[in-house]
Formats: sequence, C-alpha cells, structure tokens
Amino acid sequence: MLPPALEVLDLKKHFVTRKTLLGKPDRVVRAVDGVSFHVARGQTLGVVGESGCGKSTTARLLMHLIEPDAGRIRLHGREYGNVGGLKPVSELRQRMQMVFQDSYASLNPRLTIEDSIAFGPRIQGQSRSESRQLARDLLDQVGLNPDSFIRRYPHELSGGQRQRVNIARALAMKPEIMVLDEAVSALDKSVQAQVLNLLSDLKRDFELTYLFISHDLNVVQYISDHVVVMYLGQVVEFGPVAQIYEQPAHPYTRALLDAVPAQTPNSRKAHTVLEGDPPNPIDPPAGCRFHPRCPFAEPICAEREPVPVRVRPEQESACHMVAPQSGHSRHLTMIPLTSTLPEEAVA
Amino acid sequence: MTASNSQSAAADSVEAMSSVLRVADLSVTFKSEDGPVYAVSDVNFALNTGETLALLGESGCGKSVTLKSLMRLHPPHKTTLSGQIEITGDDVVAMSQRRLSALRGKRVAMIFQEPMLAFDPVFTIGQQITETVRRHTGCARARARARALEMLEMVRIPSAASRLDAYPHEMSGGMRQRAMIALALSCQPDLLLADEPTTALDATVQIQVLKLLRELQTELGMSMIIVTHDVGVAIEVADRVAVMYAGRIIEEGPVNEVLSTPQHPYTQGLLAATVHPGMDRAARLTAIPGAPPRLTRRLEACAFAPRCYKAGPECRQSIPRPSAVAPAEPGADSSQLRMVSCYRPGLKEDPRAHESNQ
Amino acid sequence: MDQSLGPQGLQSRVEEYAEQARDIARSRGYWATVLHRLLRDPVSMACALVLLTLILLAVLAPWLTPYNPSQGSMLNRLAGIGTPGHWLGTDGQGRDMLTRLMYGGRYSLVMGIMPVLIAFFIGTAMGVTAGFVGGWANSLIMRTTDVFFAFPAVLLAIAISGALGAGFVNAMVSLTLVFIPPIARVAEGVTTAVRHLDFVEAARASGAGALTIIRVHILGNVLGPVFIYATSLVSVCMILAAGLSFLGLGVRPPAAEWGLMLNTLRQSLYVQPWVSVLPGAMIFLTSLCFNLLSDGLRSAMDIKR
Repeated sequence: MLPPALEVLDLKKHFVTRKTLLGKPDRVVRAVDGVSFHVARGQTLGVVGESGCGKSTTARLLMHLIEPDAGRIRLHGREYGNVGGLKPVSELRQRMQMVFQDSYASLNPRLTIEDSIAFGPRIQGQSRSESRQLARDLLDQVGLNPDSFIRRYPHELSGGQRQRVNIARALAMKPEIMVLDEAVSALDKSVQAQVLNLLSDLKRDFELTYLFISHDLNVVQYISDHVVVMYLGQVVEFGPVAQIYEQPAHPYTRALLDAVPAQTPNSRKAHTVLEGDPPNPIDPPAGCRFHPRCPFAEPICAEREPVPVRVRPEQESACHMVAPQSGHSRHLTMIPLTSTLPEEAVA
Repeated sequence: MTASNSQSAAADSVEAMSSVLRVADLSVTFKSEDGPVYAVSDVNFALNTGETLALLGESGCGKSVTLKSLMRLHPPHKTTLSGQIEITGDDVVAMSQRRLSALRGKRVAMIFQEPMLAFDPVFTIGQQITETVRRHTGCARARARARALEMLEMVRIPSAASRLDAYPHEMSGGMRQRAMIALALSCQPDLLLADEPTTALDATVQIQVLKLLRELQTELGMSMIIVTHDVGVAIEVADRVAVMYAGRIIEEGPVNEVLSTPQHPYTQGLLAATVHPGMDRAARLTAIPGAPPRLTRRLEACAFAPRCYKAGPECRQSIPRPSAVAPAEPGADSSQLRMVSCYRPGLKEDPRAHESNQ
Repeated sequence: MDQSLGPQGLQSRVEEYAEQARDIARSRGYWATVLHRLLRDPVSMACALVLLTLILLAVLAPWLTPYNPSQGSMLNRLAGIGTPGHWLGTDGQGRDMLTRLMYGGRYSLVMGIMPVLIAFFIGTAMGVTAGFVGGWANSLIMRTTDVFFAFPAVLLAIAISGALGAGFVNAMVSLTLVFIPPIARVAEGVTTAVRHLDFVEAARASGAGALTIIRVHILGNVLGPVFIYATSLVSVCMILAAGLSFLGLGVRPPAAEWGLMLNTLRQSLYVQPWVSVLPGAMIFLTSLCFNLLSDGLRSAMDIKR
C-alpha cells in the first residue's frame, strides 16, 4: 500500500503566554495537543471545529511557519523537519502551499499582482521572464484575464478576485498539497461557489491534495473526502465524510452538525442546543476536554482522557462511550446516530 | 420554539396587528471622494407588530445601510436620505436630534455583529445596563439595577448576579452577545434592529443566540429586523424576508415561500450557489457569473440584468417595478403578501440548464 | 491551457474577461495614486510651493542679493521695513535683513531637515531590525531608546550639544541623536504589525530568506508611514535647531541662522519690533508648511481597500 500524501503524527504546540519571575512557564495555551491524521493523494481532508480548536495553528505547524514542539510530518512516507537526518523544511514548504482567509492581508499591498505571483518562483531561482510568464499562465488558469490584471494592485480587486490571485500565488510554487485555511469563508455565497468550482478544477488539473480548513460544515461536506473534527487542540473524530455526517460517533460532532442552520425552509429542524461557549485552551478541562458541555458526561469523563478508538472501518472517535469497558455506562449503540432528532421529541 | 408556531400565532391575531414600521421610497446616498454612492434606492417595506423581517443579501447590497438609516445613524454631513420612515406613526426623517436620541435605545434598539463595540470597556455590564435604563425611564438606581439583573437572567446568562459586575472583556463572545441583547431590550423597545448578530459567533453558540432572539421576540411581542448574508439565519428566525441586491429590495415575502419558490433570478441564483447539506458532491456548484455592479452611478436598468440568464431587452432599458405575486392561499392577510421586482419572474425551470453552458 | 473548456466554455471566458476589463478600466500604481491625490490637495500644494520658494531663495541667495550677509554698514543700523535698498530693514549691525534671511535659510533648512533625514535612516534600520527579529534584539534596541525617552527632547538636545561643544556639526549630531529614538519606535511598531500579516507568512512559505522578506515585503510597507512621521518631525527639529543657536550652542556669529538672528535682534525689539520678529516668522512659516505637508501626505497615502 502506498504511504499517504500527508501524514501527521502526534503534532503538539504549547504557547507560553506568561512566565513566572524565574522564567518558568506559568500559563500555557495548549493550542495543538497531539493531533494525528492522514490524507491520501488526490483527496481532500476537511478540518472542522470552532474558534480556539487549533485548526489554523495546525496548518501553520504543518508548514513549519510555527515550529512544532513535537510530532512527525511525513509526505509520501518521508519525514520532514529541522532535525538532522530528516528532509529539509525548505523542501516541505515548496511541496505544500497555503491560502489564507483574509485575501487582502495575504497580498503585499505595494506589489503588483504579477510581482506577488512571481515572487515565489523568483526565490526558487527562476529567471525574471520565466516567472512572469508563469504568473500570466496561472492568472489565466484561475480565471482572471492576465492582460488586465498583472499590473494591478490588491486594493483594486474584489475579494473573490484577490482570493483567485492568492490561489495562483500558491500554485506558482508547483505544490502537491494545498492547505486552504478558511480560504472561501470571507467570500459572498455567489463568489464562494465560483471559487469552490475553481478549486475542484485545479485539483483535477494539477493533481492536488487539499487540506480544507473551515468552520462551514456544509462546504466541508461538499468538498471533502475525509473529515477531522477538532475540539480544544485535539482530534475528537476522524473518518470518511459520509460516515461522519450521517453517523457521528462523538457527541461533539453531533452537536456541531446539529447547530447548522437549515438551508431550506423544508429542512428546518429542532436543534438540540449545546450549552455554553467553547472554553479557553488555557487550562483545558481534565479528562475528556468536552465533558463540561457534554450531555452524556459521567464521572469517568472528568477523570480519564479518552483515546481514539476505531468505531467503523476508517472512522475513529475519541469518546469513552465508544470504547468498550471504558467505565462509561452508555455505549455507542445506545445513543441515536441520526443527527436530526424526531420532530415530536422536541416540539 | 419553531418559526411555524409564531406564524400561526401571528395569523390568529390579525385584527390586533398594527404596523410598527413603514418605510417608503427610502434612498440613501453617501458622498465620497469619487462622487456619490447610491447605497440604497427606493426601498419600501412595512413591519407588523410581533413580526420578524430578515434583510438578506451579499456584501455591499445595502442591507446594513438600510437598517442603520431607520435610526438615522449615518453621519448627516456625508449622507443624503430621502423618502419616509415611520416608526409607530412618528416620522423619523423629520425628527429633531433630541427626539431622535429619545427614540434610540428606548423604542428602537440595535444589536451589532461585534458586541465589544457596543460596550464601553471601562464600565461593568451592570453599570451600562443600569445607566441606559435610568436615562430612558428616570427611575432610581436600585430599581434600574434590579432591572439589569432581570435582563441578564432573561437572556440566560448563567450566575447573572455575579455577571453584573463583570467587565465586557471578562466575558466570552457568546456571553457578550447575550449581554448586548440584554442591554438592547432593557427599555422594552417596540422594534429591535439586529445587524448580523451571529456572524462572528461559533456554530454551537450561533444557534443558541438565534433561538434566544426568536424566543425573546415572541415573548415580548416586539418586532425585529435582522440583517444577514446567511440564508440559514433568515430561515431560523424570520417570518418574512426581503432579498436585497445593489441597493434595492428585489423580492419580498414570507420566508417559507420566498426561499422555497423564489421568483427572482437573483434569489434563485443565491440559493443555488449556497452549499447545502446532502448536495451531490460530484456536481458543480451553480455560481452566478460576474460580480454586483458598483453603486457609484445611478442605475437606469435592472441591476442584475448583466448577470441574469434570462434577461431580455426590457431588462436593460428600465428598472422593473415591484409587483405582487399571487398568494399561495386566497384571502391571505398582509403578512402573507409577496412581491418581486422583475420583468421575467417565475420559477426556474431547470436549475442545471444555465450551468451546463458555462 | 485549461483542457476542460469546450468552445462554449472559451466563449464564456472571453466574455468574462471583457467584463473584468470594463470593471477596472482605471488603474494606477500606489505611488502614482498618492501623488495624484496630493496634487489635488490645495493646502499641500500651497505649502510645497512656499517651501520650494524658500529653498530656491536659500540656494540662489548669492545671485539674488547684492549684499554680503555678514558685512554691515554702521550708517544703516536698524533701518525699518520698507527702507529703499533694504526692503526688510537692517539689523543692529546694519546688515541687510532680506539677505540675512535668505542666507539664514541655508543653515536653518539644513539643520531642520538633515538631522531628521539621518535619523530616519538610522532609526528605521534599528526599528525594522527590532521589529522583525523580535526577542532579545528587540529588547536590546528598544530598551536603549527608552533611556533617551526619559528626557524631554529640548533638554536632551541641549545636554548633548553642551557635552559636544558649540558648533554647526555638533548641533546636527545632537539633533540626530534626539530624533533616532522616536523614529525607531514608530518603525518598530509598524514592522511588528506588518510582520504578522499573512503575505509575510506566504513569503516565508515560498522559501524566502529574512533579508529578501525585509527588502521586498517589509520596507515597502514600513517606509511610507515612518516617512510621514519623519516629515512631521522636521518642524520640531527646525525649532530645536533655532533654540540651540539662540542659546549659542549651534551656529556661531557672524553666520546667519534664523534662531541666532532672533537672539541678536532681541535687543532691538523696542526699536524695530517688526524687523526683530522676522526670523521668528520665518521659523513659524517653514515649520507650519512642513506640518501641513506631512498631514496632506498622510491622508494621500491612506488608501482604503
């Protein structure tokens, strides 16, 4: 079997936000705390979760834009890192590129569109004329007329056009993997649809693998093959998109799916509302991090941290209820697996 | 609490229903360095007591501008406002500044996307609600504080008594949003204006706040206008929806009808472009080609015509007037009225017909 | 290029491109836009005109006036304004005021602009280094500048000039030292803000090194705001320079410099009040123009999304 295009094992990053007088860490944000997942070549992995769940930090750790505290990052089975014996980070960054949410902040306002796209190839040693030609080709590829755009500045473009430029900029590095960090979240729906269509065209034409980070569960369902659900720096559930959306095993995944507003009047449903806000990743709760908000929490959940357990082929979930002999009185089969509760139950 | 419940409740009390707000021919023009910006043009709508209207549209369509002009919140030296705005029979356009400040916060209250902007960071939540209550009712400090506590309990902030003495930055985003709702409702307004109130919130918190808003609105019998870009938010809280495009309302009516059988090609396009659960993952999304027009010049024709798949010559010549759409059931009351501004309204025959030639 | 497009697809793309071309027909570069906006601002243009005139008068002084600035005539002491041959009068030693004001502009303008210009380069370099490298380098540079902030600018200028001794060059050195810390602080602030923007992250992800990122992405965005700040300091610098000369710590007599002239004419205030305030008026006019021009530049460079 081929090794996955991207494999992440036990990735960790703790930020020290306050130190004691003696310089010892006093307050630590466990932004990413033991995250593992993998994605096969040509597939799209969706990463969902609420603010503070560590999904954006994970993306930056993958690119080594932030140095991870621990963990392994493998591309096609080869491990990358800043330690001797591993493949260099510079190569990792070229093979993996990133598109950010804020299309304006991702482009240098003083550079023309052409210079922004050609910057990467120039750094990689391509000649000026080669990189300019590449910029023109890529603009055409993302649906922007090269003749009318190469000389423009970011502030003259609409949000959707700027995000197309950002995608072209990332493609200029000829990556294999694209990390899309809320890349379509700031766009209006009609423009978002254009960019999503573009992303699926590019994925096919360039044989790309996507890591699609988003808080929009509908978009993630549409675009992803597999999904990672994160909560407070940890993966709570991981598996194929259809299984996760139809048969979520973790109570948090269920709550998250249930909170999605109906998109048509006919699909309006009664939401089972989760109490409280996502807590601060400073001093996360002991045991299962979700237990203070979980409707099924029992004493065991506050004591022991659940480990990921295989619940179905390819689907893993970190919850005491799915683990046999965990000490939790309920078991997976005892909670309804459909995300929509029957109407009369709530009315 | 579901939307259908309150709709039937509203239908039962047809006689008691009265208009809280009436907007006629509202136009808002801003002065800018590059000349005038026609942000809102000829907007008409009315709102009944206890009704919730969603202003739905994409960025720059004029939905927030419309909302803010209901309280005349735009800087007067940069804004030209014409048309009529009547709130419970009082003409807002002609109102003096003094009467306007009495109106704001008392009879009409507003909540925003970012609650941090609505609160002064140096005062506690309790102080700010107390102050607002005292300013508008002139009651004693102790009474006002009791009212503040009552409000925090009403928006279901846990351990409300201790939260009275909390500063805005000490609360989480969802709690701050609840506190802002408490502040807005503290003087029992007739009309609540909500500008993208849940856009900045996380999914699990957004649904809490939407449900809370819906419940409070029914409980207190107030009217509400909610501005949103999210079809889902409109479906969850609103009775009626007005879809805006390029500064105009292009389609309006009951949420259930407008969003299940849209008549205007833009509403159809917007719904088709929105990703919804259970979509065929292999199918391409139906995007609307092009982009909305700039509002720096006055439009002489239908603003959507350049992007419209069924635009004809008449669409490029003049602006279509709003016309009534036959109601679903005969003899429906005013809350069931439906209108569309389009020369060629009608259901989209085949949603894929347009997409295939792209 | 895109194999997925059939003839119909191509046609729709052609139409879309045409639409895009119409959509943004007018476009200029950033600096061209700034210049265009500045040219349309009457206040800035008036100030620029005044400053240009002052600079030309100072540079061309030897060809514009028949008098020697340091050669007086005992017969014509303290002539009033409007005296034939001496339209702006003469000073206590009978030297032509117009001539001395023109020559004085040479010292005063140089002493107002040069220290700020030098401090702009040094301070920006320090601030960008501190802001980009962060950590201990930031602490070292910024805490050092904090020491200078403990003293008021005037006091600091006097103290350094006093320690170095009087003279034109020493006054320039002390003024430069006074202006490095505030410029470094502003540059550090702007750099820190820019460094965390996504395009810098994207550049790092493209494999660019620190120097390339500073050159291409940081400086372009930092120099503008810092430059605006520096132009607003020119007026302060001119006044400080005049003050140093007034105290005898700057240019030495008989050289003409506006601050020094103000000092010597002090004694004649009751004899020829209007002639005596002329150097002060020049200092005021020049610093006002620099300040207004700085404000104009600030608003011209503030281009929104």
